[in-house]
Amino acid sequence: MFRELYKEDNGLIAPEPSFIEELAEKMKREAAAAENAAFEPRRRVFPKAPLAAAAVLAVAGVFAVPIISIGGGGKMSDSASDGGGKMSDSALDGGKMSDFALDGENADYDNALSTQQVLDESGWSGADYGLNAYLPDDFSIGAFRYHDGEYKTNYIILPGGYTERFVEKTRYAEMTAHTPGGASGRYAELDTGGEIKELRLYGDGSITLRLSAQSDGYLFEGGHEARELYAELTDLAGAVYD
Amino acid sequence: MDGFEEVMRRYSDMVYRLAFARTGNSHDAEDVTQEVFFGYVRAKKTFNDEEHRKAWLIRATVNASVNTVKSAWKRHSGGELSENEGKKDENLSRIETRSAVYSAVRSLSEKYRVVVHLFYYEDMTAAQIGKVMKLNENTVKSRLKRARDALREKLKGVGFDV
Repeated sequence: MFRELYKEDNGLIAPEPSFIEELAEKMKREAAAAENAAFEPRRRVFPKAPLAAAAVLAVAGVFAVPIISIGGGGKMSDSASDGGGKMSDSALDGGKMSDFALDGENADYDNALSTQQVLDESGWSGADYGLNAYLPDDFSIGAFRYHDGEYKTNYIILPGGYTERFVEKTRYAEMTAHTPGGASGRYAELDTGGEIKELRLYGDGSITLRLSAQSDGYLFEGGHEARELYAELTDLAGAVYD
Repeated sequence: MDGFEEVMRRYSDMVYRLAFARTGNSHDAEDVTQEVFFGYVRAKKTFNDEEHRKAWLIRATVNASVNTVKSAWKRHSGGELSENEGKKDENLSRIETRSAVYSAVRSLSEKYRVVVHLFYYEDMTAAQIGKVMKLNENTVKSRLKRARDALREKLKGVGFDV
């Protein structure tokens, strides 16, 4: 009897027809966008004259380039650091991305580029990752990387107010986590008491998180625990929806 | 069945009702429904059969609902209702004025509401629920038992068993 009544009650719960119609229209547009995106490269790059583009951004003096890593034998123009731009020494060491990708201490969060300014230049959007449902409006691009003659947006940093939400979004993810001490294991579940120190979305769709635990620590499969770790997600959409 | 319009036609009520069961209001249920179908379009998954598709959508709804309900945004916005949220929820009014059953289920905590909904409305077994929610089957059974105990208590005197 309970089952019948509960089913009967739920029969009264229904979305507004107008909502469904609007959603169907949005879905059409989304499907068309997804179809178009399939023919575009995942990694967007800056248009022609990337150095000039960076220089313009820096010279504008509105913000500073936090980190620029030069790879592939590239060389950074002095003008790129003029006009109020701030350049990290470590970024000019010609090192590989990994030199700083796992070194959040070098990231200049205060001077991270504004979202719109960078997205306008790079053509990136959260939608490239299927993330726009939960990327905040004011996320920022953390750094650029110069490689093979092109600038590429390197990673996106989520502001602090949204990190907890992001943990909620990814808590079901299976990810490989590495502690600074070298331990690693498959992540069982993220602790929502933790804090994301840094999150990077890479052009190939991969993501790294730098996390620190505030309360209970993190439980890995295999029993490892850590107060701080790096997590690599390779398929965030799958983490959320699968 | 590959066209998303057909998928929406078939599953939008299912997704919305599960979302409503979890979030408890129409506004959030719509957000969740939209998120689920956006995710569906983007994921471009190939499904083995309709059961697989249905399980995926349920799973997506469970995750999306969790995120909506528990999101930091919600917590940090601390009780400030948006314009839509401030309006009287017609779905809720319609149902609560006539049904002690739905009200009793709604009074359960979220983790119990969802298993009750999937078990009693979607007619899923504990094993199936465990699979889509990534929970041990025994955990599901335990939640169902506790939910039933609580419902019996709440519905005591109404005249039917759970």
